[in-house]
Amino acid sequence: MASFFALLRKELFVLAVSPFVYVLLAVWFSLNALLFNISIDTQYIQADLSLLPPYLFGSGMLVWLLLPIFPPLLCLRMFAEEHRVSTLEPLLTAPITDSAVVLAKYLAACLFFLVFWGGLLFFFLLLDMHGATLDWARIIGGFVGSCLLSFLFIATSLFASSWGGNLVLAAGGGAAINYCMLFLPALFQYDDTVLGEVSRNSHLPNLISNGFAAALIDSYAVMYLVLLSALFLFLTYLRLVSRRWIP
Amino acid sequence: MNRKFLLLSISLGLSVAAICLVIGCLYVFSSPNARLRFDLTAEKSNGVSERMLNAIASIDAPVRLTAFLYREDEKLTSYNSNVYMRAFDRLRLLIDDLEARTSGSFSSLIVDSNSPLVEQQRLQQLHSRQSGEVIILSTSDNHVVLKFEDLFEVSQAVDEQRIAARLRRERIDEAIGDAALRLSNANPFKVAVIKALADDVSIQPFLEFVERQGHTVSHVNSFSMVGDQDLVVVPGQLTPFTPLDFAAAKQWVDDDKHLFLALGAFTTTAVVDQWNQILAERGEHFEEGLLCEAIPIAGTFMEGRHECAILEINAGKISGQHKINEPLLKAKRSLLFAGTRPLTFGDSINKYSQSRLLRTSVGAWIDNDKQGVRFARDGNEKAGIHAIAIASAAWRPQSALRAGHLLLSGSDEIMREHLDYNKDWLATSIMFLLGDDLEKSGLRSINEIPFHPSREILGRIKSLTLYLLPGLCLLLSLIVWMRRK
Repeated sequence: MASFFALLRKELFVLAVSPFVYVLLAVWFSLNALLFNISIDTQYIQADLSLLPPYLFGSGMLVWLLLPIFPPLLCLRMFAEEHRVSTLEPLLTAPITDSAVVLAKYLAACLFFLVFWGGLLFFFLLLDMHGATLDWARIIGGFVGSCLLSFLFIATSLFASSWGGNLVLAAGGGAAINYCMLFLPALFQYDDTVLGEVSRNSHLPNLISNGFAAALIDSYAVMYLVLLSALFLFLTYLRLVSRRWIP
Repeated sequence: MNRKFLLLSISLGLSVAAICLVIGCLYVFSSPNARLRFDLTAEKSNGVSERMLNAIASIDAPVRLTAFLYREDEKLTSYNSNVYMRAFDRLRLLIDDLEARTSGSFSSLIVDSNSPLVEQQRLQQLHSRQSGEVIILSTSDNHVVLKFEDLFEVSQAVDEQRIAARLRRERIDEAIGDAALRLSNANPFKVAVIKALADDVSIQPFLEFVERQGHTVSHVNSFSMVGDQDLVVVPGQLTPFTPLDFAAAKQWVDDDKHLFLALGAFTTTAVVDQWNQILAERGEHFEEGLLCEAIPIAGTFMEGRHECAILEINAGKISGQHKINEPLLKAKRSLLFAGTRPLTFGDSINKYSQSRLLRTSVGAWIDNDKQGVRFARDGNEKAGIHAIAIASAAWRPQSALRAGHLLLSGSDEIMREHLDYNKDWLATSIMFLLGDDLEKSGLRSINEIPFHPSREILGRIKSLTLYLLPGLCLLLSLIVWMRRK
């Protein structure tokens, strides 16, 4: 356990002293701020601020185009970079289990991603300070949903990053998996078949904007995001273990 | 080589097993029995009501809900109105909640302008959908169509002042619940509505409204033609009773059968006298005159305008004591009563409990000038609080269908011209009269949170969001980069 926390601290420190991560944060905040300002300047939103959380956390296109990209970029160096600069082998031979390595890296990325979403909470706090009445149930619900979704995307990104030292493939692979999870269900959601049923149940924008960001937490949505995250973490672990005999 | 192959097979096997396990778990968690929903709102009114769930559950066959979310009415989109955006957001949320909380016999499909064109056309043809129809609730052999106006009440756009249309109220839960009751068709209540005229067309929307709540409605010519109905509704009456009808009406009331009687201020004295005679034992009485209230215009209260006779009954004038009004107060609804006659009650034979449901404000007066209606006071009017709707029920009901439920309304316009403004109250009233459980009514309020910041505040928010956080991050990035260098 001590080695797990040591690795977690190290991963957090590495993220905190990486200029690239701060540039990433700056771009994330700028684009979200742009969307936020455009939204609050529209008559739609000014007439009813309760529309803002589902839009920013759930159905806003900018968020849905950005969110699949940022976790892979954040997780880029976690396995792929270590593999590239050959520091992964020493880590895997150190007195720490492979599962602890995966979990420490995942937890570090998740904790850091809270800062990404925390910025959006700061925007709402600004609105509150300027006299707006806010529906905090929707905001907190949307925040929780977006965080869980980001954690899923971090898990897929770690999985993509564990496959080798090619950074472009790691980032591109992670983003591709994330986009597939976002948009594939949208293609089949109108089918009357079982595929349509499955698509409707796994449509991520719906799970967030009609559930979390509407202040309605569905146990299925939580389980969907948590179980898929666990699955990708397990696959990452398997990949790390199998590296010993399949390079 | 063989060992490598074996290990690879084990890895692949474990991966497949993990994927199967996750799919299996998700399948179990997606079933309605294993699904829990937590409403984070303070009022806990975000999802569908128990009433709607029970109504859906009462249908034996599999039910399919198809929602067509199209922005078809241009009046609701002009001047950047957000009516459709909010309405469809709410519809999606409730349909999603309904699907999550009902058993597998319920399924839903949402079609909007982003759906594949072929699918849109196929579904529109399948349901023979007309413009304005939003929800089609269907079983294999029956279907109910709900239009946008059945689900929402909207204030119209004002072109002269460029004011956008706004969403005032939502009736999704009520309307879909009613539609489900119609589909279930399990022992529907029988409601008779007495014609005020031989050709009473203005009552047609009310008849359809009652029918949509799952009841069987018959429009009969006179009271003597009422058979074994569960409820009789008198939506205004123009001509006095014949002796036969009078006897039938008196017998109906004396037998403690259920009655909803609405007589407006312009009902003839002869008709009112007859009804007062029938209701004498109950101690309930229709008074003469037209109730008026001064209307607030530009910070002052105006009289002498016909709008004074249209009473807005807001929360302060709705009694919270009676269960008819509970869902309305909870959902923050107001009502509109026009051409209203005052009511009194009290000296009954102590066989009935009586309640004043709705009242006027303290500034209301009875306009009963001999020269005609002036909508203004000259000092001789009886001013003060007046009852405009009364409900009563027998202390000791003879049976569920003979519980002596009686409801008097001082306006018949609520069932005609102003039906749209009073649907919720009428629905809960009819539910009370028929002995339905009102506790689980699905009325929902639509609370707007307007925020109209000045350009200065918007500019400040823009500076803080666009420059503060990104700037801070770039600064940190520079510091870290320099320190590492």
